[in-house]
Amino acid sequence: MFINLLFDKIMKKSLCFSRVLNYYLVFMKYGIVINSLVFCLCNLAAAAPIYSQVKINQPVSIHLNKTTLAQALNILSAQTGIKIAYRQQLVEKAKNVHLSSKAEPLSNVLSTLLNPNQLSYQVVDDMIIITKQERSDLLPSSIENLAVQQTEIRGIVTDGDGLPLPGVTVTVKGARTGTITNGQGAYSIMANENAVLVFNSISYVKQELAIQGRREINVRLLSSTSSLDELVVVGYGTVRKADVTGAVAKVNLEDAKKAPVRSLDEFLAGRVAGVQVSSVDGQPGSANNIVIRGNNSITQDNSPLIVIDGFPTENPDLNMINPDDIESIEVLKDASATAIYGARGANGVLMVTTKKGKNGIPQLSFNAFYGTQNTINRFDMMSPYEFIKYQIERNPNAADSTSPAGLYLRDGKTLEDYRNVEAIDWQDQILRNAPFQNYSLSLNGGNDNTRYSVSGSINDQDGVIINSMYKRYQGRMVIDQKVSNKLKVGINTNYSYLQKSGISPSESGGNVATTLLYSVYGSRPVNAQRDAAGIEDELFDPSIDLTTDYRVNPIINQQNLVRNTSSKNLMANAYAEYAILPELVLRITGGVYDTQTEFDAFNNSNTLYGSVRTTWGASYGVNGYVQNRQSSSWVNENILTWSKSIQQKHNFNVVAGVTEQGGKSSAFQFGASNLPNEALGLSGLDEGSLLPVRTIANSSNWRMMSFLARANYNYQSKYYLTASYRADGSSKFPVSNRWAYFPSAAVSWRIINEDFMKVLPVVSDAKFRMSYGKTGNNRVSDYGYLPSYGLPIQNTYVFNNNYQSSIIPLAPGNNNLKWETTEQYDMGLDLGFFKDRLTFTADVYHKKTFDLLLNATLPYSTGYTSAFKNIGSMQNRGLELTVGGNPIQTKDFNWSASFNISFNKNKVLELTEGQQSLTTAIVWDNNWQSLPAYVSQVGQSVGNMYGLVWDGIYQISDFNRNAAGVYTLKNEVTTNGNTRERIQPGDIKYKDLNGDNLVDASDYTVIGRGLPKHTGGFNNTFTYKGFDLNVFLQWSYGNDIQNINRLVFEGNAFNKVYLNQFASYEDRWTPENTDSKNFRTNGFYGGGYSSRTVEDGSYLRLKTLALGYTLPKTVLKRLKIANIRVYASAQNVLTWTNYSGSDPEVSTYNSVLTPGFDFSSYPRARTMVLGANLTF
Amino acid sequence: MKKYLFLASLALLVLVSGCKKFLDTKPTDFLTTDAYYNSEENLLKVLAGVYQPLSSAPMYGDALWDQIGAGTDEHFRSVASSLTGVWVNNFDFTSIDVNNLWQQCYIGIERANTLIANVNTAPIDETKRQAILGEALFLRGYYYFTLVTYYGGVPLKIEPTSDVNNVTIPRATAKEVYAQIIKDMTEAEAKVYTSKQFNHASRVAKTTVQGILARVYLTMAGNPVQEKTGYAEALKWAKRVRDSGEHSLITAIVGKADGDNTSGYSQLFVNQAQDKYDIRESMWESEQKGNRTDGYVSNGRVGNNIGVRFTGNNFADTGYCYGNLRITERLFRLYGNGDTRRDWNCGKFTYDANAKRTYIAANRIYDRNATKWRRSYETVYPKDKNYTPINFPLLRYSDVLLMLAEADNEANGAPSAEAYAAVNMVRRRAYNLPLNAASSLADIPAGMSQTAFRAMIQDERSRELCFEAMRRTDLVRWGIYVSRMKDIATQFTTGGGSYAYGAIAGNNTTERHLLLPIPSGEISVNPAMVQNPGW
Repeated sequence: MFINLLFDKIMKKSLCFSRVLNYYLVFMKYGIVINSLVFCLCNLAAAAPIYSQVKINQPVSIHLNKTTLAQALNILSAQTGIKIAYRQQLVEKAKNVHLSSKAEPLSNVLSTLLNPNQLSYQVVDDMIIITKQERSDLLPSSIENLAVQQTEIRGIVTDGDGLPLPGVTVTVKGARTGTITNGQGAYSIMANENAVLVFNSISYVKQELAIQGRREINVRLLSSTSSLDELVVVGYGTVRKADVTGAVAKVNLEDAKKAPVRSLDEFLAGRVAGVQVSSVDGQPGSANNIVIRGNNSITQDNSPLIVIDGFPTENPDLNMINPDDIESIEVLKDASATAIYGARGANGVLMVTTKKGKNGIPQLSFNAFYGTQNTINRFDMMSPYEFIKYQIERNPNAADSTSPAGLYLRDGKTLEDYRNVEAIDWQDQILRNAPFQNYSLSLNGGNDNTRYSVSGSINDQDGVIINSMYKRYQGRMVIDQKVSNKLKVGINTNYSYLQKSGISPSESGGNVATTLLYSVYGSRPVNAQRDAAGIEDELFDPSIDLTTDYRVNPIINQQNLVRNTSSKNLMANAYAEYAILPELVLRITGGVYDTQTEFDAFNNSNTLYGSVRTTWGASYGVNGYVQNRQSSSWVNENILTWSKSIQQKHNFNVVAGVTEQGGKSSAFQFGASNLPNEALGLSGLDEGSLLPVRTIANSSNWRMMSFLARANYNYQSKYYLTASYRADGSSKFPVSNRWAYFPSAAVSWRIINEDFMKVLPVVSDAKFRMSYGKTGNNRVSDYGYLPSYGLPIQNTYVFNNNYQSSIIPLAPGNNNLKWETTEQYDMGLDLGFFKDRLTFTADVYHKKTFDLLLNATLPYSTGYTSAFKNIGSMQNRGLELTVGGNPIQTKDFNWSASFNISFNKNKVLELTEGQQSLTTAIVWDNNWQSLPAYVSQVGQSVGNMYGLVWDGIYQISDFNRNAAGVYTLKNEVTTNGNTRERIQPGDIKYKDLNGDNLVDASDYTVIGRGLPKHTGGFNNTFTYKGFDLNVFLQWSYGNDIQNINRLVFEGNAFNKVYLNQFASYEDRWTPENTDSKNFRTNGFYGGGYSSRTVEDGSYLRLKTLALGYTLPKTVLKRLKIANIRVYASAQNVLTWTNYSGSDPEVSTYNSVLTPGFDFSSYPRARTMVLGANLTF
Repeated sequence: MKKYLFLASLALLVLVSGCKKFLDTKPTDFLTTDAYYNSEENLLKVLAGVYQPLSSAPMYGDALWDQIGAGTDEHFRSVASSLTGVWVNNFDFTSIDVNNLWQQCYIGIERANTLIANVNTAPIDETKRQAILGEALFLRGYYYFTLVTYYGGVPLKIEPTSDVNNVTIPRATAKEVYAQIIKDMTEAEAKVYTSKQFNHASRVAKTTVQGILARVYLTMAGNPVQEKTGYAEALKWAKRVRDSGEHSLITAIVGKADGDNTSGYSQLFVNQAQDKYDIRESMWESEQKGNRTDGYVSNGRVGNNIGVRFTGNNFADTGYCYGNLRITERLFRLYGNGDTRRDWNCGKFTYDANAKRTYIAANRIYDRNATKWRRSYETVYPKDKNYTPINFPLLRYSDVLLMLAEADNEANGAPSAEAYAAVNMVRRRAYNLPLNAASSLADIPAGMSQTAFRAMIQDERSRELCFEAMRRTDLVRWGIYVSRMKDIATQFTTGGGSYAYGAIAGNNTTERHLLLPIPSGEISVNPAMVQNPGW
């Protein structure tokens, strides 16, 4: 009670000095009762909006029976959180009211209440003021205006889609009269015929129209491109965009969702400055790598923390979410925004919020698309003629039955006879046009007490490689229930069943020939004379020695190989929100995230791994294994939010809370070999012999507890201060290092609200931000700090001819293990011009990560290879620019555009003690397993390509020729690593960097850049009447790709017999063709990776092109459908690049240390679909 | 309001006090250290872990006789395109073989250190405990012995790794390492069981420790340490083996004669292919078993990378063998007429595509494979393509006899009668002659000088012990590694024909190859390390 009184006083006082100068006399005279004390948390979905605002159009459900108008207004105010001010005198006289409204706009309810009492209302800033209808008591001057001859103007206000727009304020310019459109968007106003009408509504561009004698004026309002009133979801709360102090970006979902893709990570690339998304290759369901503001960690995961409806998870399977269900995606980038997530915030945070039920009549939506995918690029291989010519060059002498001549040039056939022979197109057989379809249905509705949203979807995507696909069956249910004025509860559950099949083509059994596409590109393009059956029908090429080349018929192998993953994902969140006081709300949430994954592998006798003729099959026969993985985690969060505004000047929002989270995981696998009945498939595993090396049984668990607090303060929406602090305790660290503390602070200055900005009317928004904070990374194994022992079957020894299992120390542990910490400074500027038709955001940041959780290389003398240590340091500096605009805006045609570009510069500051560089090898083939492919050096960026500098080809002038015609390399010419005597003209040449005339490991240097210099996107939306066109371009610039396909197929580095080559290798060095860039047949010598195969991986991609048409309302009315949009949409439409591989967005062995390695990558598909969105 | 604040802070308090316990999770997938040392059964498993690196590919499973072991005067890798690698002495400190050998030794050392540190936890019979401790001590010494012979002085670490943040251990001198080896092995000698108690060659017996101690002292006495007092010690330990009466040379074949396995000598290696022990002579073996169909992977490449080449698909009987290791002309020519070891070690046939034998022409010496182990004798079916159950010998009694003779010659300034007796016994067995009857055919000439006897021993060790992963270090300790490799290169160049490329190894050999470089895996992260000379 005391508080009420105090508040009254304060409000009275504050209003005396308020901006509403016109009304101050009135207030003084009659006194004001401010009904609402509540800066209410009226948004159920998010915890607490920090500032309320007048949403005159918001739906209100109210039931009043014989209520005084004063009480009615009280209830309305309490319900909507809007202050309603009135003179008591006015209200006292009013009749009792009867009213029952269900989700009607507030404006309508007010009119119903006020009209019978000859009262009206006006919206002034953030309150509603009740006035007498004739208004003469308030504004004597307007009487004169009224005296001028006035006519009634009528009309309808609609939105960009032609839907009626209720609640639009219509005023006469210069006068103080005004009205508001009703539920049908209709208005009528008395005005002088020379006057100008002003149409204004939140989230829409204000429009002024001269009456010019018209009686009916219909207006279409366009939504404003950048609305500062838009709510932005941040950690543990929401905030008005204008009030954001950190670097937070909201994804333009409306456009992003136009891309025909399966999951949200697929449409994220290029949408937000500072967020780099790249996929490993084009396989449906293959992992997307999301990196925000560069890599912090060297050996650990750098993907952001993903908070799905408040549930923080590392590496959730984003495929489980139906993109249609997503309401918003925000990216928290700077430390001020992420530090509230403390130990897990260092890699940035992605806030994913799904749709909740909405007040109003039930809305049924159906979205469907169907389309097809085909490969963007295929490789040109040698024709039969070129192939045989090359094979004979490789092996000209032998004339036995297995030599090229023996195979192809028998019984008088000549090479020329193969000129016009049609090639066996292996690519054509393994690749296909694959259908892609998606159906999703949702029902959304509710009233003031209960709101619900139910949705379900099916996504079915076949891969462009045969026997590969991805499917999703998903359902979601969201219910929000208001129990009382103080208590709200709700639940949000999502279940998805995901299925994936098909081997990853880059998966290697340690030998180049075991990768799927090796056999596709490399298999012979032409049958030999003796291949009666045709090699297309045989699992093994009869002319290949299986001991030296594991090549199989890729079609038969792929058709028979079983690699199926299915997973069941359940995510459920529930909350209860209790308003202890109007300003103080407690929100308690609980959630579970459960995943069960089954992986099935089966190798029958027609596969590389199951045929008795291969190494694996010879040992294991028909074999298979089944793996089951479970992981479940839970979270409980208890958050108190306190919001208060004092004198309209000092605005506070304070959040404090305790959260607990935990999880456990386990994996079990068994496998069997030599199955007698392969037709039984995996069901026959029990008939074979158990394979102990395939047995996996492990489990683990972790827990985490955190205390968090954040305070936001602003003074008159000009000066903002945010400070946050989080303490995290994790079971992943030894007791002494369990707790860590993460502070952050940010200031921002909304310059636009300063008086002096009024002289610059073109500037509509100006804000300057600065932040600093510390965040952490805890991505380390659950018990990495403990020493561990085990009995791996691989280490079994033999005593007296009996197997003796060995107990061995597996990991040394580290009793000093602690968090990795990232310190980040950010400075940002937000500008808006021409009423925000042009917006501009720039951010610069400086991040330093130290105490890196490094899986650090240990000296071998420790007996271990590596241990988690806090050692090393990395730096990322960057600049992000986003420009948004609405260059063309007319009645029928609109063009809005958004452009973003991000530069990030990464630098390794320190590695493990004394280590100046860290080289990484890639085991795509055992012969290359010890050759360093990448290097990360102190002072340079992480993950650079490493190897020899390619120096062209040895020409005849490099050699001395003796009388016998033998070429010997001149002494002053460097070798290429090979012994001097063996080097011949036409051989590959490398640069000798240390000047010893020998090329060896000491001549390795950085030969390529793994990370791009800048990435970005350019999004355009054009609308013309019912048509909308979205054009989205995305690029990456400055990164290189190590194109290993060329190593194998442009010169045959493995020197394999009958291995087909790229057509480009037809142009190779011969004494007659010395200008070729390709070395002679057999002219390869490789002592390491070289710059020959390093290519510029920059690309610009027309990523999404979508054309839609929304049916006119008149047609819809007849069909009784609220909205229909039909569209054609395409993904990966065009790519401009100099990269010669199948696609420049590739990284088949992706990690921070090894970006951009391309071998046998799954070809990327171009998707084209037709679809429709229907709303009933 | 106050009430709520009070309640809220109370709730917080409860949470805070509970959080210490809350975060105290326990691993569910492995046990604490103590639990692994609580019984004899478990201690034996820990001990098996200490032995296990011996059979790994970087040691006797492959590299020590293949990549690192090839490139001597006995055998070479016949891959014409193979121009880099330890076997052609064209490599540097990043070489995977150089790295892996070092790493495996230290894995063994760490496992031994852990066992030694925890051996007293288990409540078991003291004799058994001491035997297990003895074996662990010996094995630690053996791994250090391997390290010191290939790399010189190395970091000497006799405690388990307890702090991963403090790992920069500098190199000890070779002498210090030897001192530790001798200390460990001498201590072990008093603790371990006798070979009769074991009756198998998997675990280290008293006489094995004595035999290896002889080898350690002999090596220490040679280059580069040249601790000459070692000869007398080596002699002492070798004699202890001889005098134990537990060991002798085996002289008869088992089963029916097949024309290839013609002597006790070849029977030794047939035994190893058949998982049969004969501890009279084969005192200690690195263990391999099975064909992988039982799911175990405790098998190696003996017989597959070394043996009679056959790479066809129909390898059910012959076994699959890459046969890339071929003999040098020098080795072939060392054998006298009637020495059964020649055609066993330097196989006289290959297989054709149908797995039928083709005999090699007399003048095609380099066509002969190194065939000491032959997969056709394996008894585990089906034969795995790449992995074999063939054990690899780590100490044979004939080696002890030859060490005895060598140490005697060096320690006494000239060979004594005992030295002659030891050598002749080895040679008579090779000629299938009675061991104790003088033979003009087999016996070495009497009255040799110390130098002549030394040279004879150097050759006899090749004849008897070729491919058994000792030649490289033997040549180094005799101080003749570089010169011998040059000689071999000349032999290849003049008579190698299509195998002339075999000269590459010798041509590449320089003084720096007396030791392997300190591997990149150590030196790049251990700033206290100093590289070997020339690397």
